[in-house]
Amino acid sequence: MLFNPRPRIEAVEFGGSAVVWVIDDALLEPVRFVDFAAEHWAHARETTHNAFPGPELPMPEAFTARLDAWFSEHLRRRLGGRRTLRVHSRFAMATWPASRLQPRQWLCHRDRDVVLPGERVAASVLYLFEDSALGGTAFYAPRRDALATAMLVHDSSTLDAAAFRARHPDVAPGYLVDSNAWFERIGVVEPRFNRLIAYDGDLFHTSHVIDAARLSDDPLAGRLTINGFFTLRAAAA
Amino acid sequence: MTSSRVDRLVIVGGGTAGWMTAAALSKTLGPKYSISLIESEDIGTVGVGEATIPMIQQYNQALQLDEADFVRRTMGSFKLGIEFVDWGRKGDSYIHGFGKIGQSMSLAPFYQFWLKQRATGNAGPLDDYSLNTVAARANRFLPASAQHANSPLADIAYAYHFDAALYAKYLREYAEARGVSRLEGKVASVKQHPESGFVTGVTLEDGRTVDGQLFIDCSGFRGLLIEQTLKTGYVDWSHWLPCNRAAAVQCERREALTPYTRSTAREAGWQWRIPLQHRVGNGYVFCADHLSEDEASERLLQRVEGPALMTPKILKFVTGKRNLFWNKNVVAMGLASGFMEPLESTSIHLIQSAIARLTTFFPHAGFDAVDIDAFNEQSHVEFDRIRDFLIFHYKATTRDDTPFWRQVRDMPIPETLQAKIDLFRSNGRFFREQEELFGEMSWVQVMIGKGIVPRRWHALVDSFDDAAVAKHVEDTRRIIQNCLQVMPDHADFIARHCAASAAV
Repeated sequence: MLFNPRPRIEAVEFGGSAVVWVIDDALLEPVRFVDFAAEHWAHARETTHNAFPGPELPMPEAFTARLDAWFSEHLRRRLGGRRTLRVHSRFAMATWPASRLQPRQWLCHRDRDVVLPGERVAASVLYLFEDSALGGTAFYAPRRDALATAMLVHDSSTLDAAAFRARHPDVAPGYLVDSNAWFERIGVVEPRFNRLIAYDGDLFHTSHVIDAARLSDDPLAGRLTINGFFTLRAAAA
Repeated sequence: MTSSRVDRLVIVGGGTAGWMTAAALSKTLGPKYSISLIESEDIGTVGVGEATIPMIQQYNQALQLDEADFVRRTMGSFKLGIEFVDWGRKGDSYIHGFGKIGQSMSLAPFYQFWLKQRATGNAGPLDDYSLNTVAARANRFLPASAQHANSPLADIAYAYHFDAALYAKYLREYAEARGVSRLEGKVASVKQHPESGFVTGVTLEDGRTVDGQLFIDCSGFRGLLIEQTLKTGYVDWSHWLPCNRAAAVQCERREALTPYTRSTAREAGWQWRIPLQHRVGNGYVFCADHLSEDEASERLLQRVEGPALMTPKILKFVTGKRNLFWNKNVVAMGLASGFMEPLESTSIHLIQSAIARLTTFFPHAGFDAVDIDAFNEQSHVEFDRIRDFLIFHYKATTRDDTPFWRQVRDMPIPETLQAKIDLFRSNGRFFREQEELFGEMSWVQVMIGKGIVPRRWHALVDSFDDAAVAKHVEDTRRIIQNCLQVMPDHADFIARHCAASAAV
């Protein structure tokens, strides 16, 4: 058994309607996972298909299956799903200095790139670090309409930094830590070792990195997390 | 009946339809006819028709347009066909090419020989046996020329992609140089004969009046004359073609300047990609019952190849046609006459075809009802047959990954279409009905591309011994590969012959 069989699940409301589910003491033996990450971190890779600012290491399939089972038992229905269609999970560790970030990393994002009609996406983050100053997860609400926001996100993924700055001078380079002209920060979940949060993939969010100088590329000291992504068949409205 | 001439024509609306009509009629009718075109710069044009089919060359030739000048001025590119991606099932790709497929032998078309070879596992995809499709995949282009007689190079059929706004501007210059009078303004009211109901004139917002004998409605979806004035009525085909929105966006080009349009099936419709010299036109045709406008716009932005040059524009439409294309003395052109999604790039062709038909049926002042009936009947047949071809693209899918695809896969279809499918499925036969636009090669490519393979091949193929069939099929493939080698890269061809100075 990997996960706490009787988790205490807390709902945290942000911005009136956004709900983030928070579970402390999620893993029964969390240190084992930190050690596992440290042992295998040479195989971690930076990817280009998402906006994550650091290396990632896929979790073993057996772990993902256990995570899915536990998620399905305790969280899926709370997140509007009735069946899990696809799931994957990975270690991830934010390591990049602010100067290395590209425009899409200057913004918050959603986890719903390939969701089909009738489906929804949920995500989870499990914090595996003790230093809370490394930052938890911040949630945002767009200030502009959906189309304008979609254009901004599109620009951030297709324009280089100079062109993006020229078109959107109201977006500051670096990690997003507070409200700006485009997004209002509606809440922050503080990190705690072995805390898991789960949320609707439709929510804009980002790693809340206030002090990028504290980031480390050592899994024993850095901002190590296990991230899960669940594509769900939506429950009937 | 009077024998007096109809010589005062009024075109209401500019855009692609208005200026194509004005240019063609000014050329055909000459200076003895007065042609006025009313348009307002305050009314946007849809301009989604940026891809064409080879018949556009007949239009350009009738106007005696210089091809290189035309391509240069419209930032155009050449088009050998349409690639369909993920339509039959996810992962599929085939090209509906415009050219010939192989060489007929005896009375049987080439694809019948291919069917036999395919059945024995000795033939590649049908795409391999048409120079149009092979060249498209290789990004090569060369127009057909007489110097390559008796070679597939003489049979290359092609059309164009172009910037619809530039095309309208180009034709406007052409038309105005031939005497078409353009009036800037919006129509405020329409005058009708009190007894006949014929339109006698329109009054603009600034009080000017424009009288005429024949009115051509190019006012777009709203149909200012054909619908708002004459209440002609509309046949709704949404139950067969349920897509009713398009999100359109232009972006910078990051991929190759491909000599083909791409149509990619998406969760609730399909996405087009039309490559021009200076940008790429993209759009997501979708069904609003399955996807919101915001969602469609966002997904389109996620999937285009380069930075967007505009905010996505949403077009709303109801697929169908007017009850009459010609009603009293009003002829509807373009979107005013009906709308079918641009899955097979038919929008501009339907304008061209209606212009040609109007020329054929050009009226005396008496407006003979028999002629008008014939005009309408021909127009209905043309629309109906294209409709069936479009429905087939959806119906033939095996996709079941979204409610949209399950809906179109399971929907009932017109009997005319079902008969075509049944006939092809048995022995691969196809017969063109009346003057329907898409012929045997088009249907065969799309049927096979969608996975509908006949149970048997034409009986006459068996009159050849197996070795002869195998040799014919293999020789065709080899000859096409040889021809491909002499074709230049599409982008290089444009750079040498018709590059627009402002193209990136």
